[in-house]
Amino acid sequence: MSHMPTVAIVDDDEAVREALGDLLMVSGLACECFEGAAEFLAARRVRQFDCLVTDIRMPGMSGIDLIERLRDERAGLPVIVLSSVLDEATRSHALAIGARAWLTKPVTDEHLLGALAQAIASSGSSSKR
Amino acid sequence: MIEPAGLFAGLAIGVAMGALAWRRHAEPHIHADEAIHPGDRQAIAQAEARAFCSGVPQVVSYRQRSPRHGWRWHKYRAEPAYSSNVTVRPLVHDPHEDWALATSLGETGDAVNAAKIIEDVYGSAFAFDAEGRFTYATPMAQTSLAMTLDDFNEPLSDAAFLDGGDLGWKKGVHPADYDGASAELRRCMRSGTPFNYEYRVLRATGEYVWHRFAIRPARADDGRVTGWYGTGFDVDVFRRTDAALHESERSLRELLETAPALIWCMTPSGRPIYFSRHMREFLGFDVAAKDEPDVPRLQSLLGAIIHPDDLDRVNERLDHSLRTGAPYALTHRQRRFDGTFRWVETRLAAMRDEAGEIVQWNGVCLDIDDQIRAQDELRQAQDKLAKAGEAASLAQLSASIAHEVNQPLAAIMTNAQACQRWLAGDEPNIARARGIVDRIVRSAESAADIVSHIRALFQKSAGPRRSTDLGALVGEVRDLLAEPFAQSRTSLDIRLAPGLPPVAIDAVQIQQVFVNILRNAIEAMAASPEGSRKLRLEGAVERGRIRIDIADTGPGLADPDHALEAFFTTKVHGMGMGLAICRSIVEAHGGPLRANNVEPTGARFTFTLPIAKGGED
Repeated sequence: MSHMPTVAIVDDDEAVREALGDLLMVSGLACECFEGAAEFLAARRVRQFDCLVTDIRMPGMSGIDLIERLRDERAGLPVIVLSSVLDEATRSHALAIGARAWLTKPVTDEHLLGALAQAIASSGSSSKR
Repeated sequence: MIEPAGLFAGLAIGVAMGALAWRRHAEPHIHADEAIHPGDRQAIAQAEARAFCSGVPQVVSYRQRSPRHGWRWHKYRAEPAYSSNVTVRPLVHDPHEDWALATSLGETGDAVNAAKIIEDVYGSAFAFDAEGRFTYATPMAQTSLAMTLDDFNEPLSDAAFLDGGDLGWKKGVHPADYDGASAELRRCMRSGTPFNYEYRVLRATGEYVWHRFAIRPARADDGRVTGWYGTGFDVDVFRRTDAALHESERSLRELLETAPALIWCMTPSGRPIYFSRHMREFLGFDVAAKDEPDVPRLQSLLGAIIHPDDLDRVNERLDHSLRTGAPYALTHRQRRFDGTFRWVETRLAAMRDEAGEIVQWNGVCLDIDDQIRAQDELRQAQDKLAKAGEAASLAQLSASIAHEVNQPLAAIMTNAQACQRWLAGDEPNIARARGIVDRIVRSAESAADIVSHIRALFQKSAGPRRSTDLGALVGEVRDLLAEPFAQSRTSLDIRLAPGLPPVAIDAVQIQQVFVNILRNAIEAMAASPEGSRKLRLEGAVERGRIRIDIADTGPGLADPDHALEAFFTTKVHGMGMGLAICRSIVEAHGGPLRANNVEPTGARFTFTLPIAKGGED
């Protein structure tokens, strides 16, 4: 069965979640939005996601914590960071612990969709193996 | 005839005659010598001598014993006007005096008479003839020297004394002193002038003792010198004291010369008269080297060595000290021998006599260039650190502002791009696009909200108000600023009215207000003279609030009306945010922050703080 890739979006800002959801929808991707890392982790127990787009600075669990958690769980889920954080140390740390891409807000649709396509492709090839 | 030559002779003869006159005049008043108290006899003799020398009657008190009343005080008046022709005891050839008096006095009768008068007073005298042969010497003197008249006169060479020959008394003079003494005596004897000289005499005990000799000529009526008479005093103790004084003076001078400071002295009117060796070495010249005609030495000197930028200050302060006698202390730049200017600390104080009159100004100059440079470097390092701290907090602040504003901006961008995609296809999805445009509007509104919220953050504080003791808060502020206060030599005078009630404030923010205003004042006074950097902080209850006044003595605010606006600064470095933030904080506590200038100079910041509930009783 042709599986429609599903993207998880974690961002504490509702406006950003809605906008991203709409952009992915119009681009032919299924997506589910979460206002925090904890909500996403709960949903992940029952559903499968092909890619995660997460903010860094969030109340509760931060984006970095979330990426570390996924790495520790060997989830194999490609993660794209989309954040306003400009701190270089945080960026390299995120990339070092497994984030596929680090995009800075505001982001152009081409950049975001390109990164998503790459991440999903790699995820698909790894799951076939 | 006796010629009283010079003060010494006058006094000697005066005293001698006084003693003689005493016997003569005293007869009518005083019946017996025993009636005069022994302790007062000398006073009477001295009064006679003074009367003789000065020509003015002298009055002294003395005690006299009367059979009925015992010792009683009387006045004695010594008259100057008595005959100068004094009768002296006749010269008697007493058999037992043979060894004291030459067999033949020759022409020296007058000289011997004079010698005997002097002996009466001083206990010792001698006389010799025009060729230098002794005809009289006090027996005591001969005994203490263990030399008789014959011993004195024994020829030691063929030549006469006046022709350079030596007589026996040479043996009684210290070898190192004899040539000088004998040459001077020959000179005086040839020219008929008084002899005053000091040399060491060999006592019978074998020790050399310093004596001062005074010898005068006696002349015949035609003025010819008929003989010489004189006496010698033991001045050994005086010489030793004198030598000790010289030594202590020399060592003091040596101390001045070698002290590791630049030392100089000025007259009471401010004319430099002495540079110590270090001072001369520092400047490369001595005290008179820069003298110019018609210019006071101090002026030409200051012009040559003081840095042009410091000259006015130095002149002003020196002038003040010279006028008032107040001590002087100033740090300024001074030109060294090699032309470089060094920072020195100059201190000057008046040396006064017992009456309080200034007799000299003594100054010390310390080269503190290295210290000043080290301080400067330290200050610069601290400034850099402070700026770095400011920049860091600014970076933090802007990062959080950027994050806040970026969220809606990101949403707007993504929304707009999604919208474009909904409208791009063959069948544009107008409904979805409209929905997105609504969200874009909402995001834009929220961005605007954030901006105004940030503005509000600068204007109003939402921090919790706690009851705070103002005295403790001000104390903390003073501790926080102890370093800049000490470094800038600024004094802080805190005057809080007694029993001030606690205030309801956000203590961290109000502390920031105090720190900002005080720091601003310290910087404003940096160019003021060191002693005048004063800050006063006052606090008192006024119309149900506590009013705070902070006044400095700096140059004041160039534009008090705009001083509190953001980005307004007269400082070369600085964002101009400090006072603007102070105003926001103070206004958030319910009162305005005012800035104005005060007389004669300085700026004053005034604000009020709310009194805590229940703190007003």
